[in-house]
Amino acid sequence: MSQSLVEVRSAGFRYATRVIFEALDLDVNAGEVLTVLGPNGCGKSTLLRCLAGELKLSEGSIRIDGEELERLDAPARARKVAILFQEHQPTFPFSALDVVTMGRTPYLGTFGAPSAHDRQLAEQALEQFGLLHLKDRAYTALSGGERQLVLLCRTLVQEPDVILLDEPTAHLDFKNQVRCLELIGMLAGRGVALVSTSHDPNHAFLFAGRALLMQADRSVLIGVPSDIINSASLAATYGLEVGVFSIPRAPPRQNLTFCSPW
Amino acid sequence: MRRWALIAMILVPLAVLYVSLFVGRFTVPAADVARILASRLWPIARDWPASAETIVLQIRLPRAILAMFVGAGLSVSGAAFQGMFRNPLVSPDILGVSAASGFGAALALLLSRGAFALELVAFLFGILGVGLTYLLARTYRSTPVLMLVLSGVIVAAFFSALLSGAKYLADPDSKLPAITYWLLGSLNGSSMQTLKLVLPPIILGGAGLMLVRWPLNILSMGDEEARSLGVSTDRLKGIIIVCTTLITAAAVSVCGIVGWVGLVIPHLARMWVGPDHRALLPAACSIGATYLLLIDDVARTASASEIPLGILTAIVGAPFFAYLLRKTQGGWQ
Amino acid sequence: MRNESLWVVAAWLLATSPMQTSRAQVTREVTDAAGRVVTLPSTVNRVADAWHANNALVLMLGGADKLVATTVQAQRQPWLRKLYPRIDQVPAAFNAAGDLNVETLLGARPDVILMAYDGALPRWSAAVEAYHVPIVLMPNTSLEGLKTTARITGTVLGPREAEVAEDYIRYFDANIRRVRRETERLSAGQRPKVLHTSSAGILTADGLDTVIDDWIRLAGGRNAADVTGNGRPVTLEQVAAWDPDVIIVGTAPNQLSRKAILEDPRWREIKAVKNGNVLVNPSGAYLWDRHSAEAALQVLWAAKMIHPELFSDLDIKRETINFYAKYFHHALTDDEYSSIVNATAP
Repeated sequence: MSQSLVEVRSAGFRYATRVIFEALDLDVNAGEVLTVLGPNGCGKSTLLRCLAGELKLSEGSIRIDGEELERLDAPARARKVAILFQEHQPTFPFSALDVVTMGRTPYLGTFGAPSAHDRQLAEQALEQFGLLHLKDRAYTALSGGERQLVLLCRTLVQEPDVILLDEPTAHLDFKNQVRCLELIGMLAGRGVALVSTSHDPNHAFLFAGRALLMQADRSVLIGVPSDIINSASLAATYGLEVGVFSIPRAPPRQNLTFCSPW
Repeated sequence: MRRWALIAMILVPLAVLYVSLFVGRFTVPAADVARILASRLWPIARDWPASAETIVLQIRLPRAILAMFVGAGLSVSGAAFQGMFRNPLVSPDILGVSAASGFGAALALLLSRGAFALELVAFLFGILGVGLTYLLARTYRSTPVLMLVLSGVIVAAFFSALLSGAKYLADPDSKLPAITYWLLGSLNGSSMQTLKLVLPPIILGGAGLMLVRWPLNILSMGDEEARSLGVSTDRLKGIIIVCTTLITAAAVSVCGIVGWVGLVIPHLARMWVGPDHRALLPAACSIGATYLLLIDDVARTASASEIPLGILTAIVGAPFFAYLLRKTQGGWQ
Repeated sequence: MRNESLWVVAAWLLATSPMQTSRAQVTREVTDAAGRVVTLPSTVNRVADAWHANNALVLMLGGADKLVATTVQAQRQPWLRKLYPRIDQVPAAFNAAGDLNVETLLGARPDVILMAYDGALPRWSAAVEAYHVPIVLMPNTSLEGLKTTARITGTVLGPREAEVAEDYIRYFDANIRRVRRETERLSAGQRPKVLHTSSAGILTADGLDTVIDDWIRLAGGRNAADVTGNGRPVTLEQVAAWDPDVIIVGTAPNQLSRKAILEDPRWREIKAVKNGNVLVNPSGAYLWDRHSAEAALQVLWAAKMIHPELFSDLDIKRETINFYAKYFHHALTDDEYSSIVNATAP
C-alpha cells in the first residue's frame, strides 16, 4: 500500500494533565482535503499546530511524505508543510508581493535573500489567483478577505506537500468565502494534501476527502463525510439538533449535501 | 532600491563628514583644512602650523568618524529591534544595555582608572546587562518577546538603582559631575585610539545585522508565522540581540547615553524606503550617521562649553517624534 | 520621608522642651552671608558642619573638638584624618551631596549648623529650624568670601577661635598683598593664560566668577577659559583654541590626569604641554584650590608657579611647614610635604 502524504500514528497531546486528543490515527493523501470539525475549544487548532510541527506531540508520531516531522529542521519542515493561521496581526506595510515572496524563505538558507526568480514565482502565484492588481498595495491596507487570499498565494509559493488551514473562511464575507473554498479546491487539484479546520460542517462536503469530527468527550470520528456526518454524530459533536439534507442533481454530478440546525 | 537613493545614502554622509572637518572652535582657514586632508593622500609642502594639523587630523577627524559610526550603529540597532519586537516604540536600550553600561562607567569613574578602563568597563557592563536580561527571559523552550521586554525593564531598573548608589558615593567636587556629564552623552573623548577600540564591535555587529535582513522581514510578521516559514526564531533573535548589543555597548562606552537616535531614525528611514529591512537597515545607517554628525557639530561648536549630546538629541528628537506620531496617527504609513 | 521626619522632630521637641527654654536665655546675634540675623547661644560647644571644606577651617581655628556632626566628604579627606583622627568618630549626618539625615543630626544635639551659601537655603532648613537649631550660611565663591567665612566661623565658635580667625585673616591678607604687589603692575600681555581643569573622567574647565578665577588673576595670570562657573565641560578643540600657557590639574586623580595630558598626542601642540607647564594642584586638609582654608597658601603657590621670576624668594615649602605648625599644630616631614604638594595621600 502506498504511503500517505500525511501519516499520523497514535498521536496524543496534552497540556500538563489536560488531554486534548489521544491515540489518534489518520492519513491524508495527495489531492485530499481533510476537514476537521468540532466545537470551539475542542483542540482543532492544537491538532493543526502539531501537524505543523509548532507543538510537540506528547506521544505518537507524525510523518510527512515518509519523514518524521520531529526530525526535520525548521527550513526542511517549512518546505514540506505550510500553515495558514486564523489570527493575523500585520505590523509593517509590506507590499502584497513582498508578503507572497516571503513564502520562498524555506528555500533561501539562513542568510539568503530572494532572487528575481523568487519574485517571479510570487507574481505568478498572485496572477493565478487573480490577485495581481494587489501586488504593490500595502498588505496592512487590504481588507481581511484580500489578506487571506494573499496568504493562500504565499502557501502556494512555499511549494509544500501539505497545507494546513485554520478556519480559513472565518472573518470573510460571503463572496470571499466562496472564493477561498474554490482556491482550496484548486490547491487540492494540484496534488497537495490539505487539512482544514472549519466551524461549518458543510465544508466537509465540498471537497474530495475525509472528515474528522472531534467530539466533546474527546472521541474522534474519521471517515468519508457522507458516512460519518449525520444527525447523530453532529448532535454528539455540537450538542445541537442538526438535519442533514441531500438534494439530487443530474448525473454525473453528485448529490448536493448540506446540514442545517432544525 | 532606486539607484539615486542608493547613491544619496553613500554620498550625503561623506559630504557632511567632509564639511564637519572645516567647523570648530579653533580657527583653521578652510584652505589649510583642505590641504591638510590632501596631504594624507599625496605629498604637499607643509606650511600650516602643527597645531592646525593636530586639530584637523587628531581631534576633528576621529570625532567625526566616531559620530558617524555611533549614529549609524544606534539607528540600525533600533531598526532591527523595532522589527524584532514588532513595536514602533522600541529603542536599542530596551534590553538594559544603557543602564548597565552607565553603571559600569560610574564605577570606573569612582575608581579613577583612566579613559581606556572606563570604556572597557562600560562596554563589558553593557554586555553583562543584556546577558542578564536574556537569561531572565528564557522560558522552557524559547525567549518570547514579552519576556525580553519585561526582563529588560527589570535589569535596567536594577542597574539604575546601582547607578544612583554610585552617584551617592561620589565626591561632589569631581567624580559626581564627571558621572553626571558622562551620562548626558559626549564624544569628548574621541581619538584615533578610541576609534581602534570601538569600531570593530560596531562594524562586526552591523555586518551581522546586514546578513539577516531578509529573515528579519519574516520575523517582523510574528514569531509563529516566521517559524512556519522555516525561520529558527530563537537563533535569529539571538543573533540580532548579540549584534545590537555589540553595537550599542560599544557606542555607549565611548559616547555615554545618547537617546532618541535609535528610536527616531528608523522611523525616518522607514518613511523613506519602506519597511523592507533589506533597504531599511542601510538607510537607517546612512541617516543615523548624518544626523549624529550634524548634532555633534553643533554640540562642539555652538558655545565654548560643550553641549551634551544627549540633551541635543532629546531636544531635537522628542518634538520630531511627536510630529511623526501626529502625522501617522499612530499607524505605520 | 518629610512627614516622617517632622513626626520625629515633634517628638523630640516635646521631649526636650525644658532644655530649650534654658538655652534660649543667653544669646548673641550673628549676620550670615544670606543677610539673615541668626540668634546663637552665647557659648557654642556643639557644632554641626555641613560644608566639606569648612571642617578643616574649624580644625585650624582650634574648634575641632566641638564638632558633633560632619560630612561624609570631609571624613574622607586623607589629610584631615591624619591631622585630626577623631573625625572618624564624628557622625556624618551630611552626605556627599549635602543632604541631611535628620535623625543623626538630632542625635548629635548641635548648637549651630554651619553651611555654605550658594544663593538658596538648603532643602532641609525648614525641618531643622522647626526645632530651633540655628543655621549659619557662609559665602564660598570668592577669595574675599573665604575670609568672611573664616571670620563668621570664628565668631560662631567662640572668642578664642575668633581670635585665631583674625590672625588667619591677617596672614591671608598679608599673602594677598605680597602677591598683589608684584602682579598688579602686570599688563594683559604679561599675564600667562592659565587653564584650571579637573579631568576626572570628562574634560572640564573652571571659568569666571569662581574662587579659582580669583586666585589665577591674583597670582598674575589670566583665566584661559572664557566660560562661567565651575566644572564646565569643554571640548579638546576649545582648549586648543584657548592654547593656555599653564595647565593646572585640580582634584583627584591629579597625577593620573597630568600624565594622561602629557602623553596624549592630541594635547601635544598646546603651549602648556610643549613647555612642560602642566601642574598638579596641591591638596592637604582640603583641596587647596577650592574654597579651603589653605587658600592662603594657594595664592602663594599659584603666584610662584605662574610667575617664578617674580617670586624667586618665595619658599612654598617653608610657608607650608610654618602654616601647618601654627594652625594645625603638626610638624610636617619632607615626605608629608611632598604628598601635600603632589596631591597624593599621606
